[in-house]
This record gives sequence, C-alpha cells and structure tokens, in this order.
Amino acid sequence: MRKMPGGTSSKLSGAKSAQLLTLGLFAVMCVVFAFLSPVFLTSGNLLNIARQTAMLAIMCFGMVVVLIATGGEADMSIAGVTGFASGVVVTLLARGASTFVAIVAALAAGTASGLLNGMLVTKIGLLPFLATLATSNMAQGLEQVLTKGTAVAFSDPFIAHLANGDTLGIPTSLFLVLGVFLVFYVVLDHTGIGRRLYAVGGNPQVARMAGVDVDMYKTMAFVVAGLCSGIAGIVLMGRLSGLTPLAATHMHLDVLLAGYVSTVLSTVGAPGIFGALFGAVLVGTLTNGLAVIRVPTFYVNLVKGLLIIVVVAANAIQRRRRRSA
Amino acid sequence: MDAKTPVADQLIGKQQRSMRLWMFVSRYGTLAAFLVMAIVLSFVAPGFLTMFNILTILRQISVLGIMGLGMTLVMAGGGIDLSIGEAADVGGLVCVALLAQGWGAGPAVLAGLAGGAAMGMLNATLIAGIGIAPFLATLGVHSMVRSLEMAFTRGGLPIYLNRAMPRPLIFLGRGLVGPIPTQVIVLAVLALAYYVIYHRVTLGRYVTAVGLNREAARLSGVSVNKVTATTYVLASATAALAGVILAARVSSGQPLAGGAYLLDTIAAVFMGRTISAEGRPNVLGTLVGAAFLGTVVNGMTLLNVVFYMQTFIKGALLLGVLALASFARTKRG
Amino acid sequence: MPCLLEMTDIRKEFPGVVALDGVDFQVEAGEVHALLGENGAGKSTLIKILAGLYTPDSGEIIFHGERLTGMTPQKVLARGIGFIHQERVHIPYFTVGQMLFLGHEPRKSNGLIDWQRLYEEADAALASTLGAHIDSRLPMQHLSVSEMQLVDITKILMTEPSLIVFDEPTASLSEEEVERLFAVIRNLKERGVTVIYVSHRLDEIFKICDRATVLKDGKRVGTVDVKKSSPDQIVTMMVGRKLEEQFPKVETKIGKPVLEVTNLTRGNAVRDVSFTVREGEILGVYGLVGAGRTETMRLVFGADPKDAGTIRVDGREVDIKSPGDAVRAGVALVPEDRRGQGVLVDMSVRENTTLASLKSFSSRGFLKLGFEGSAVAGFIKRLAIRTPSSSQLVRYLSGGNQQKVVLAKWMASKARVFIFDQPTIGVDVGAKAEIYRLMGDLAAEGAAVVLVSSEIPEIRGLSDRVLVMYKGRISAELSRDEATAEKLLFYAMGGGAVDA
Repeated sequence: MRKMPGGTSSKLSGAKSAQLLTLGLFAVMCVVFAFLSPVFLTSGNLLNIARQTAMLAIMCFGMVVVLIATGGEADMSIAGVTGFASGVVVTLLARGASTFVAIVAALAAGTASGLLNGMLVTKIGLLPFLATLATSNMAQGLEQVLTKGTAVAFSDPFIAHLANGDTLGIPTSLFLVLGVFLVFYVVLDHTGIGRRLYAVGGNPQVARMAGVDVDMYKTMAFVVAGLCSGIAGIVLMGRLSGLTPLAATHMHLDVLLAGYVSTVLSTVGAPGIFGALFGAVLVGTLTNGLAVIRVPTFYVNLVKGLLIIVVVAANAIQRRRRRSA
Repeated sequence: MDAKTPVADQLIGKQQRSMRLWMFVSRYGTLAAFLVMAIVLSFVAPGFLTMFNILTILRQISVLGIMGLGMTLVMAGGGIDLSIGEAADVGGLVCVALLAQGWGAGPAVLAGLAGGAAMGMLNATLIAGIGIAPFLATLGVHSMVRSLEMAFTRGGLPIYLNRAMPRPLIFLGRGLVGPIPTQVIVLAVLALAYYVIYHRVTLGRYVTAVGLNREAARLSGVSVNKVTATTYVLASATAALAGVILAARVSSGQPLAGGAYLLDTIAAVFMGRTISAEGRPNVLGTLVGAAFLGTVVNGMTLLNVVFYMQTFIKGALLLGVLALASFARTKRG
Repeated sequence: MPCLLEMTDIRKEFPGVVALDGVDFQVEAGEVHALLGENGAGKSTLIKILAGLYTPDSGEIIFHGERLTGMTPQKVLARGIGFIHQERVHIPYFTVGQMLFLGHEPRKSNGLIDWQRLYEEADAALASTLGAHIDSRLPMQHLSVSEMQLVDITKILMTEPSLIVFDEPTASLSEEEVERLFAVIRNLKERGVTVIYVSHRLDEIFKICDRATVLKDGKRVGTVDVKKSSPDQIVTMMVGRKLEEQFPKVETKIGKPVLEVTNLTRGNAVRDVSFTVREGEILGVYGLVGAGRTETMRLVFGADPKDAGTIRVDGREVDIKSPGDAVRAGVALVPEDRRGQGVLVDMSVRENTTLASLKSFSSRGFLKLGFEGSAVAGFIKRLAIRTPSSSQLVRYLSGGNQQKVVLAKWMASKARVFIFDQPTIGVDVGAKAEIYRLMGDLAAEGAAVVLVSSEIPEIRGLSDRVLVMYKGRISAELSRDEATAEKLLFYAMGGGAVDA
C-alpha cells in the first residue's frame, strides 16, 4: 500500500529478472549456435540475419503499437495482411502497373485491413484477437482471389533492391528498418500522440477524461499495424521475387513471439519500440540459427510454439506477482 | 425505497423490452438468413434439394458439429481452443498409426481419444495451472502439435493402412443406419449428451458461472480451475473422436487436416450465440451454426465456385457472424 | 455572497425514469457545499450534467454569470470546473509527471516533448499547490491510494479552477488520509476555490461543509446551513427516518464458539491473528483501510493462501485451502465488491442462489430443477428480494437486492459463519436497514456473524463485541459498551502501543 523503498525495489527486480532472463536466453542461444555451426558468426550470415529480420521487425513495430493501444491485446492479422499486401503488389506489377502505383496500392490494402480491424474492435466491440483472426482469414482469402491460389513470379528492380540489395555495403532493408524505427521511436516516446496511445491502452477511461478520442487512437493503432504489414508485404514480394501462396502466414508465430518478447522486456508493464526491435532480432536470430545448425523445418515451429508459451507464461507469472506485491 | 420501486420496475421493463426486440431480430435473423439461403439454393443449385444432397450435407457437417460441441463448452467457460483442429488430427493419426501396428479397432480408437484428451490436459495445465491467456496457450500448443505431426509423418505424408480398415471403423466413417449416415447419429447422440451436460448437470452450471465471472464463481466455492480444465479435456477428446471419424471416412490418417475446421468451429459457436436468449454459447445454436456453414459450403460446391473464392466468401461470412454476435451483446449490455 | 454556480430547474429523463425533476442548485463563491442524497436520488446525474457528460432535457446552468450550453467535459474543464472522481483514475505505468501533463505536455521548439521541463514543472506543481511530497518521476503504480488522489487534485489545480467537485472522495481512504484530504480542502477554501462535496458520510459533512443541499427522488428537498442543523435533521431530509432507527439491535442468546481462528498469518498483511465468534453473536471488526481486515477474512475464507494458522468450525479443525473448502466447512463471505465478486450479474437470481450449494440440488451430478425452483422461490419470499421472477438476471436488480441474493446463496449453503465485508457500500439507506435486520435474524437463528466495516456508527450499532485491527494485528478487543468512537479510533490508529 505504502510507498516503501523495499517494496519498490523488489517489484522492479521482479521485472528486471525477467529482462535478464530474456537477454540471457538470447546470449546463450547465440553461443550455442556459434558453437554448433562455424557459419553462424560469419559476417555473411549476420548480414543474412539482418535481411531476414528486416521484414519481421517492421511487422513487429506494428504489433507493438497495437499492444500499446489495447493494453496487451495482439493483432493476429499482421502476417495475413502482409500476404494480402504482397498479393496486391505482385498482381498489379504482373499486370503492368508501375512500381509506384503497386507500392501505393499495397500500402492502401494494408491500411484498409487495419481500418477494418479498428472498426470491428471499436465500433462493433469484437475482442481484438477474434476480430483480427477473422480479418486475417479474410485477407488470406483475398490474397488467393488475387493470385488465383497459385504462385506468381515477378521481379521489380526497385523492390528487389529494397529487399535484397545493398547500399554502401549494408543491406538496404536495414536502412528501411532504421527509418521506420526512428519514426516510431520519436512518435511513441517524444510526442503527445505517443503519450495518448499509451494512455488509451493503460486506462481508456482516464484517457477519455483527458480529452483523448479513445476509439480513434485504438483504430489508428490497428491502421498503423496494417500500414506496417503493407510495407512488409512489399519487402516479402521483393525477397521472393514474386509470391507463393500464403508465404506470409508462416510469419504469424514469429510476429506474435517477437511482440510478446517486447512485453516481457519492459520494466513497467507496457511494451516499447526498443523491445519490439529486440524481439524481432531475437526471433530472427533464432530462425536463422536453427536453419544453420540444420534443425528440420518442422521442429522450428515446435521450438517457437514452446517459446511463445514460455514467454507468455513468464509474463503471466510476472503480472500475477506485480498484482500481489 | 417502496416509493421508488415502480420507477425501478419501469426501468427494468423498458430495458427488457428493447432487449427483447433486439434479441428477436438477431435470433430469428440468423434462422431467417439460413432459410432464405436454403430456398435460394434450391432454385439456383441443381440437386440441392435432393435427399442424397441433404444427407451429404449432414455427413459433411457432422465432423464440424462434433468439434463445435466441445468448443461450445470451452467458450461458455470463457475460453477458446485454437488447437482443436490438431486434437482431431491427433485422434485420427494415433488411431490409424496403431491400426497399422496391428491393434484392434476398439483399443486404437480409445488410444486416439486418449491422445486428444492428453492434448486437452496440456492446454488445461497451461491455462488453468499457469494462467496463460487461452488463445495464446492454445496457439502455442497448436503450432507445437502441428510440427510434431509433420515430424511424425515425415513431412506431412498421410498414414495408410496396409490392410482393410476394420469393419467397425468403416461403419463409423461411411456406414448408414437405415438411410442416415452413422456419423450423423454419432453427432446427434453427442449433441444430446452435451445438452444434458450443459443444462441438466452441475458441471454445465459451473462452466457458465466460470465463463461469466471467474472470481465471483471462485468465491462461491466453485473449483474454477478444475472446471476450466474439464472443458478443455472434454473438447479435445471430443475433437479427437471427430478426427477418428474423419480418418475412418478416408481410410487414412491425414496430418494437418483438422486445422481447416478451426475457424468454422468458432464461427458455428458464435452463430449459435446469436440464437440464445442470453447470448451465451449453446449446444443447439452451435448445431444450427454448423448446419448453416455446411449448407454454404455445399451450395458453393454445387454452384462450382472456385476454391479460392470459397475461402474468401467463408472469411467474409465469419466476419459477419462475429460482428453480429458481438453487436447483439453490446446492444444488450 | 454572490452565486458562483446556478443550476435552475434542471430536468433529465432516462427511458422510463425521471432522474431529475426540476432541480435548483446554487453554490456561492468560496463555500464548501455538500450535495447529499440516497442512491438514486439524482446526485450523480446532476454532477454528470455539470461535468458535461449528460445533456439536460431542460433547465439552465449559469457559471460565473455565463450560461453554459452544449458542454463537453473538456469545455467544462476549460471554464474552470474540475472534478475529482470516485474511481482512482490513473495509468499504472505512467509516471506522476506524465500523468499530470497527459494531453498537454510541454513542447520544445521542434514540437517534441520537453521531458526535463515536464518533470520540473510537475515537481513545482506538486510542491507549491499542496505540499504533497511525491517524486514526479515515480510510476503511479507505486503510490498509495491517497497519494494518487493528491496527484488527481494537483492535476485539477493545474487548470486553475474556480470550482472543484469532489465525488465521494473518502470512499477508500483511511481516517488519517481523510484528515489530510480535509486539510487540502480547507486550504483550497482559503485560496478562494469553491468546493462541491458529494458524500454519504454525515460526519464528514459536519467537519468541512458550510451548506448542504439534499436531493430525494430527483427533487431538491432543501438546502441547509450545516452549522445550524443536526445529523438527525439531515437524515430525516434524506429518508424521512431518524438515525437511531437505522440500527435495530436484536438481543440474541450467545452460545458456544462456532468459528475459532488461531495465529492466522500471511506476510506482513495479517500477523498472528486469533479470534473467536460464538453462536448468535455479531463480531464487529474495525480498522483503517490497509489494517488487514479484508485480508484476514479472505484467509479465513480460503480466498488467499495463508502462511500459518488454524481454523476451527464448531470445534472441529478444518483445513481451508480454497473458498470451496470454506463453503464445505460452513463459512460464507459476503465480499465488499458485490458486483464483481459477490454475484454473477449475468446469471439469474435462481442460478446465483444455488451456485454455492448446487450439490444439494442435484443427485449424482444431475440437477433437480423442480426442487431448485421451489427452494429459490422460498428464499425470494423470505428475504423479500424484489425481482419480477427467479429467472431475472441479477444485473437488473438494485444494489440492496443484489446483496440479498448473495445472502440467499449462503443461506442455501447452510453456512454457520457469515462474514460481511463492508456489506452496505453503495447500498441506499432503506436497503441498508433491511440488510442490518437480516444480519440480526441470522444471529438470532444461531449463526456466527462477522461484520467488517469502516463506519463507526455501523460497527457500534450492530456488534456485540468489536475487534480493532492495526497493521495486520488485532490491537484491541472491546465489548459493546466499551466500543466508543474515540476508543475505536484510538486503537485503529495504533494507540494501543502495538509495535509497527
């Protein structure tokens, strides 16, 4: 009840231990991969990780904004919408549209999906995970309608450069991630918009009384997540030089996992943009590491599924301890 | 107090009247949509209204319906099971794999059900024991079991029998009782059992209480963790039976086949919720929901809608149903 | 004195209910004005209209000589009217500074938030306006309830209001913290800020208010000068009933011990607590918020795990590890949070009544619906629960009737020990008396009753014996005659020389 120095520090140390655990897990993981495979720590592979992680990081930034604005509810549609946006780009390009038009259309598709999520949650009152699950399902359906359920091959020099090329010896996609990260960092941590997003997720009633349009900000969070999915969809199309059916859906677990890692990492109970970046790097490294030490693909999902449970369980236990403290 | 009672009563009356009106629209709206769809299909789709096709629809919806029954109980208890499709897979795969090892039909089926129940216990432990949010826990189990299925079947190859399917299983998967497919009978019997559990047995009351307010139920002496755990175990075991029927129908163990039923199952339960007066998940409603979805799919197939359009249309339908069900609840609250 | 706020002939109708029927309400500049009334009298509707949350159907509001129309909460705030709401409004992971400046953070020239200035200004605001010693960089979740309230007040004061409305501000404060709040309110008055004080607690009105307006059934009964009136007069205005009539103490025969608790301990919250309750006895448990009363009762009921201690019911030791164990042992808890923990609002009266004793309404797991129905009908009649039918959802019952459903649930479970944790919070005066009467009936029928309460009159009026708790321990045990308000407070505030 009272503000006691002892109580405060023990509460903080609880959160800190979860943080240290996650960081420790990451370090151990890296050591194990480096030990088991000589390839893992080569600069070529590290750049590879960076390239592979770029798309995930952008998706994860969107996820974190939703986690912030809904007080910990996940957007289950990010992977599905990424695939849909990818389908939009590749279909338009294959039909002769200009790169610019295709990119704008993909971003619009992502944004529209996010808007749908936002409306379902704020206007109709659906639980976020159900609304986004349904939107994801719908987006996958649309992607298949666009591509007629088959693989489409197309290479666009600009998008290919963005996804796979290098600028100044550094993967171009890293610049993209860095750019998006900076925008998110500044907006979330240093502007009133960021404060209001956190307020909406932290206590909608308080936010409302402070004059914040809660529904608008929640919707905005989903729209931002949709926009991020749009960007990720463009990168995905570049990486694959086209699109195979439902290529994005296998990212579903990765995004969720990275998103929840970011929550565990936070000291106060609300996720942040640094946590999102770290979560993406952790999951990207894990994916790459399991591949270079030749773990069969189907076991990869076993590991990730298990990790989701561990991370979320840690989160649940941490929250329970915080409440009883 | 006494002076105020009429005012309070008026308030209650008014709220209930507008609520009743809304419930009327949403309850009969779902049924009306179903009816209109069936009538339209009987005109535009050749062969829709034949006995043969109706039995086909019933056969098609029996697996969905059986999985929906377990999900109804889980959702009534305030949870959700995203791994229900994999429980069906486990049931079918374990059963067929053991048959291939020379086990008899009875033990193999029981083992399949036990496999499903074990998965349910894992879910129950994570949710009731550790306190993980149901959708995350079951999502984790969903992806883990999927990868185990892939590993177990060497990358997703179906398990075939090197001998004929035992007779009881052929009867279960493809047999008829009179004109009615056996699996429809199984669905009917299970539905009755679930109805009794839900409405006439203490467990059903406890499940509802836990689903509506966990803490209040706990403070009324309800063993909330035990009740929650029971719903997941029952749901997984029931889904495993659906998986056994599925395997018996195609005479093989198909990995990753159950996942396709997940969203349909959720949609069926939500559709059923709109039909109940309290807006709670309920057995009869889920059956209507399953019939609705089964008819939609059947109609689209009869009308030669390409598969990717079917995915899309079902996605849109799911969205619509979820929206309607939640909207009904918001209205009432 | 000039009128600062004049609300004239305010009318507000909700579907089926006239919440306010032509209410006049005038507040003079510089006064502390109490707004009183039973639940449902219309106080909160009036306050919500003033706050811009509701639009009145008719009537006018004049503030500072300006007619207010088409108000929103933001516009009202901008006019200089601030509200301290009943719910503690904060965001756990926001720092105090972030909370104070939510929505109007100081910016640097490039448009980004100037964090350094924000914290400097926050510290200044906290220090200068109230002398509240709170570090503005602390997260809100580390503050106590009263510190959070001080932050709320600071936040309002930053808008330099001329009128502040306190809506039941002491609901979850300890007596000590209440005194601190009163000091703040007196300070506001000295600085020329006008205060509207909404409360249920009569003693508070007499401590800090100048005038009081009483509402009843959506109408104004009258406005009185507090110094020239008495509690009896005000209660009569509120309910048309005298104060003594509220506590009909029934004399009962006190028998053998029913509940015996020995050395109950949990962390620092509950330390070595032992007590006994006998047949036909009502044991009052008094203490300030945070003294460990609710925590103790939750341990007895098995709602939280205990570190040590034994519990005996009717002389037999019972191992209570969960509420289920407690129910089987015959212990019942009527929790403070009625809607969240006492009843299931979306279940029917019938389902709620039998939830704790479903086993006796079933055989081999199958429900005996007919038997259940007649039993529930019996309880509805016996407790005079006002409900159209047993299938009515509890959500639609009034607070007092919901509380009766909780009681019916425990009577159906044949409990021997009834623990009431603040049973009359949010219950209007009329229903309060009924609940008191039912508690007396239970005791008369031989049950052991424990009453946890923060209201001294309630404790004194009903208890045969009173325990006082302080910092997790029992600091005194007083007989009915010994338990004067002074003594109760003395021991509740640590006056009994208990170590800290």
